Amino acid sequence: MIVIKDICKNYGEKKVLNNVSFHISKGERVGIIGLNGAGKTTLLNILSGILQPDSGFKRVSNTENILEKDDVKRDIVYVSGTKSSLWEDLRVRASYENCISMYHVDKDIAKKRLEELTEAFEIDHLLNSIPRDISLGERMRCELVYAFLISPKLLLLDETMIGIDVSIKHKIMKWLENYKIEDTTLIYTSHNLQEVEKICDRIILLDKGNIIFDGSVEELLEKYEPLYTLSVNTKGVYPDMEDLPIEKINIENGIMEIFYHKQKIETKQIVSHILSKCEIYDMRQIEPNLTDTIKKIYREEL
Amino acid sequence: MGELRTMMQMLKMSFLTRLEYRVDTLVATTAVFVRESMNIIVIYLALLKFDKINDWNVDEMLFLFSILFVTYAFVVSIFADLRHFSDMIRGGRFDRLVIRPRGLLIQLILNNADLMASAGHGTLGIILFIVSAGRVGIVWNATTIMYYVGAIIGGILIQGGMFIFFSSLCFYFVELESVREILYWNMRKFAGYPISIYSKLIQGLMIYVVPFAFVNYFPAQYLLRKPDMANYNELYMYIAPLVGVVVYALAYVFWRISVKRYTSTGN
Repeated sequence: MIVIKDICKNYGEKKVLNNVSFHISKGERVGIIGLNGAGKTTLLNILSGILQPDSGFKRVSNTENILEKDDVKRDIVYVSGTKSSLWEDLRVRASYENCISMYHVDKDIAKKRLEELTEAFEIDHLLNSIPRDISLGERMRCELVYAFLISPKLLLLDETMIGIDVSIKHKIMKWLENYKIEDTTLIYTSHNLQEVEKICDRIILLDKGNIIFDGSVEELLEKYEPLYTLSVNTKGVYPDMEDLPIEKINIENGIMEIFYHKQKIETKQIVSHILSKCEIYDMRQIEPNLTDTIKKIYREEL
Repeated sequence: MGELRTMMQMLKMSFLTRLEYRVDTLVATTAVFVRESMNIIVIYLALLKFDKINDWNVDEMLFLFSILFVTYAFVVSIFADLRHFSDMIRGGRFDRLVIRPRGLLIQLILNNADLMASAGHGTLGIILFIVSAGRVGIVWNATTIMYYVGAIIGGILIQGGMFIFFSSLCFYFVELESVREILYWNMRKFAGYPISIYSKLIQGLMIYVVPFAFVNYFPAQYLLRKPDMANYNELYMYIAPLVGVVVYALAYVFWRISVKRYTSTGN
């Protein structure tokens, strides 16, 4: 579906992408993560065809120059917080009508799909509005409906949750999680790593224009050996843990927090050890999440 | 059909937007009308002193102006988005047009139509036409009416073609306003007078480079047959309406070649 090889892009003196290479297969859901200025949006702009790399090879949907082929453009939708797909001077409903016509979506299917999407994204009251008259969050919801109305083969979503209210965001996230159409390849950028973790199977980590990781969420967690946390209430009895390969122990308000790598010791070994010394009244295991892992990676990289 | 519908929607929305701000629209239209009328009045008063310029009397000159205003009334709405095309590229607004599976020019035409400027220029153009057309000795019959309509369409296409050409240059150079100012807006000012009053250089520019002479001078010559036409090939009068088609087609080809160079300005 996508082949990127040794792509470089500079803005003046600043290197934004530096020999970036990867393949993305049909149907993959890829999250691109990076700090501000890491090159995420530049990469999506290059994939969409609106930005040309300074050097390197790019092929999307078997085409090297997307912009010259309308039939290829019909398979791709790019939704961005900074680049609206909607016609800024037309009512949202008219944008959808144009979209249905431009992308050759069957009218009956489109009508049914629009009804579903209108309800899912709660935009019924916005259909007769003009995009420039509505809030950013509302516009982004309308933009997402525009994207899913088409049912594209390649969906590029760049910071699409900006400005969206928490309650609706949760609903949209659920919808995105369930949006697993076999043919659709999804590339998703966000600063919110929980979103990426929920939606994507694969992660590409960018740092200063370089790919520093490319793999599944599980591989990422494994590679960077994040700490697991076991929170244990032993009612004031704190057993000696010195013989175990534990990284750190915190004791606060009578609760013992034990930090450890799963590669070095299993949770059940720690629990058995504690039980051999005292009683456990309450216990909770906190798995490392992607956010902490990424923070750790960038701290190390920086 | 989709393209036509989109263009009509653009026009409808421009119209509805103006309607939402009725007072502003009225004020802006009046302002354009008054500004252009003042220019015409100043020129008119100056011309009264001379009686004739290169054998063109005041009414004939007003007729020349009327063609310029009527054609521009259409141009300013049809090609409004191309007037500040470099801003559109710099601001990233062009990106979203590029990724849509639809012709780029089709998306630009009638978008953001400046209906206030159209109304202002159009009203003035029609008034000048009404004032002058009956007093310049034109025999209005089927042939002259058809020629006049063809010349108006040709004039719109010439100016539209120039807008497209200057917009295409934005794919090569970031800042072009000064070039456009010199070549388009100044030449347009010159086009208010018979081109025979200018130096050979300006005449050459207005015939072969920025062909405003085919917007109003040669069409007016076809209808008025003034003596200074002897300085030019007579064929120019007859082909004037067709020049628009040629200029527009060339500009379109140049646009198609140039747009391939497009790359977004950034995030």
